[in-house]
Amino acid sequence: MARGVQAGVDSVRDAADRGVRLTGGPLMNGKALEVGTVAAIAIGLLVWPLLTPQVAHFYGSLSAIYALIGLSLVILVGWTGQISLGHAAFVGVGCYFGAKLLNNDVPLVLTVPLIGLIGAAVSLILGIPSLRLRGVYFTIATLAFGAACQQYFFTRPEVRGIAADQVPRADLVGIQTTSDRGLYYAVLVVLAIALVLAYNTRRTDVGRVLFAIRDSEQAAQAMAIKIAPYKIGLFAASAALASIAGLFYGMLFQATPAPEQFSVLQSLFYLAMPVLGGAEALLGALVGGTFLAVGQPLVNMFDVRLFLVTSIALLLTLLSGYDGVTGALKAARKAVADAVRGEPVRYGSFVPHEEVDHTPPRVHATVADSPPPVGSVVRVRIVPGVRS
Amino acid sequence: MERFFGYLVTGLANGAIFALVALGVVVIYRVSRVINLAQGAIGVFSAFVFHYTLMGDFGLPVAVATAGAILVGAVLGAGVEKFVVRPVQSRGALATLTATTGVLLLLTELTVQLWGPNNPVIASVFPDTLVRIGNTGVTVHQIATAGLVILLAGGLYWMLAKTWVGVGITAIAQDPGAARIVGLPVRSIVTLTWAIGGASAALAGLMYIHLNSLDQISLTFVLISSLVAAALGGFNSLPLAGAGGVAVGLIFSFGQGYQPVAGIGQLLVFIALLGVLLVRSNKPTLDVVSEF
Repeated sequence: MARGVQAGVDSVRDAADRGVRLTGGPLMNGKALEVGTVAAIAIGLLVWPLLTPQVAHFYGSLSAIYALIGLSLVILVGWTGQISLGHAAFVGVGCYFGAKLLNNDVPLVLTVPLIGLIGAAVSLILGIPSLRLRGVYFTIATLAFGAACQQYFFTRPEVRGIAADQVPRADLVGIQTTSDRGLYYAVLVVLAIALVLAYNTRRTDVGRVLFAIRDSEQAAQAMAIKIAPYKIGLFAASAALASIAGLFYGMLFQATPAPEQFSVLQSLFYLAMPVLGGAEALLGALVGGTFLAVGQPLVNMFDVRLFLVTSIALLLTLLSGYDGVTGALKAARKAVADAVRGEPVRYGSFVPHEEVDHTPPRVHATVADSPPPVGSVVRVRIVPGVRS
Repeated sequence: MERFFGYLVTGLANGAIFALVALGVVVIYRVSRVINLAQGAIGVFSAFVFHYTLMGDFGLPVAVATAGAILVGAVLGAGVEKFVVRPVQSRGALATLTATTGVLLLLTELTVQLWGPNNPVIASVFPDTLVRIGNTGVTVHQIATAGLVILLAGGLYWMLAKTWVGVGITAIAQDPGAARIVGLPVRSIVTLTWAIGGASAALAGLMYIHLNSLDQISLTFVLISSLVAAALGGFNSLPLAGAGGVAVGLIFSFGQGYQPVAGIGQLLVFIALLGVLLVRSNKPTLDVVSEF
């Protein structure tokens, strides 16, 4: 590795000596495109309920709730490379405990963070023993956890409450949630906050450490990173998001659903979201959530089961080789950008890294008339020995 | 004491089935380093094919239908390897694990879609007559299940230890590259292993629906129990996986028997798993290939 890095540094130094200046990509600026896309999506999400009949608002709310669950799985699967097959249990925790808090007149604005804390606390039951667990052992632990929750804890009357307990629809700081449209906006606010938090976490040191752990635990360990706190912390955050989604799930149905709604199969169904939408991009959660929520009324028209369609879609997505819908879009965008700009210039082992968007802008070498001014800062990211 | 023996027999019979599924998981993991989460679903699907198609629609005799169901399981196992796992294997462990999850969901839902959510009441292959052992009544079916599993586990063990295919599997498990250089048909052997796994899952499924009613909850429980059993052996050791299966069956049976609360078995299995994982994961040798 060290030799590769040295060669890369040498070639950059070489390039600088020959008057090559390193700049950001001049065409199809990635940042502008990204901001534009996000703005367009945000406006679309805000405006559509005003144009559609009431019946669509229920599925809108459901999409937003699923998107929240999807986000919790995107950060778990996409950021740490761990799969949870028991996430529906956290949704259940949020739903049942949320009903308890709301029925005791705790305001919604307090209930949301409280449920997040409860979900995170419950996740520690799993997270702490999994301190030393890797990959599939963790997955099996989540599976057994999901089954134990569904079969044991959620059947307890103290947890679930009496059958079909009413869940009140409280206000979220002025947003009325008595209508499905209002509830949709309330969930959207929470979802937006979660997305912004996640987006910013990705760009901090914590985010970089998480990606380092995902790419190679051994390498991260060799760099004296303590892995366990990061993994447990992220799992707790993921569980908190899923629990908050569960709180709104109960509010949407205005009842505490039967434990079968939080079964292991339901967890597998939720796992389709990061796969279908794409686990690399946060927006994959929105795509996956909408797919699952809108899928129900669509498949009702043909006498097919939604889980069946979802599982086929999941397998086809995996076989397609793209990282879900957002991955396919990204690949398409890159193909267009490359066609417009041509291949980036490469020097030795110094190659701009193309798949990762949580780094400084893509670096391209362009030949300048004069050497770069003394003292100017050139930011480069060197990927040792990946290609050419 | 009477109750104790009753629970013991039920636990052993169920545990034998979990052990059988776990053996399939371990054999597959050894050659392809993939945990086949769909193992239980393959068994259930084959069992439903046995009941509705082979016995129901075609009216085949029990022995022929059983052979047919095992063939279905083998074909499903090989098919999953060839058309789902192999294409995504280059994309890492995460993708393969998700892919087998997809197959699990697909087969389960296909079962419901094709044959409805009602649990079939299936006549046992073996007679349900009671045999008195001391004060406890044991059905012939329970004894036959346990005996069959011991026979099968022994056969599997013999095949892996003595036959050419078994030696090939061990070779691939230890060093796929070297196995290829020596001239072993690595791909065919890997597919064959998945077929063996599928067949054993089908057999387990057949025996399970004779012992218990079958629905989606009990399916996930078969899956979890067998995975816990396989995890006990670090996904590597056949004897440990078998013992794990029996242990899970006993835990479940005794828990449910002495403390008849809904879901107590699942809770105990979860707690047992956490305990096992804590003990086992202290050892850094989880991924080291051990001998059978």
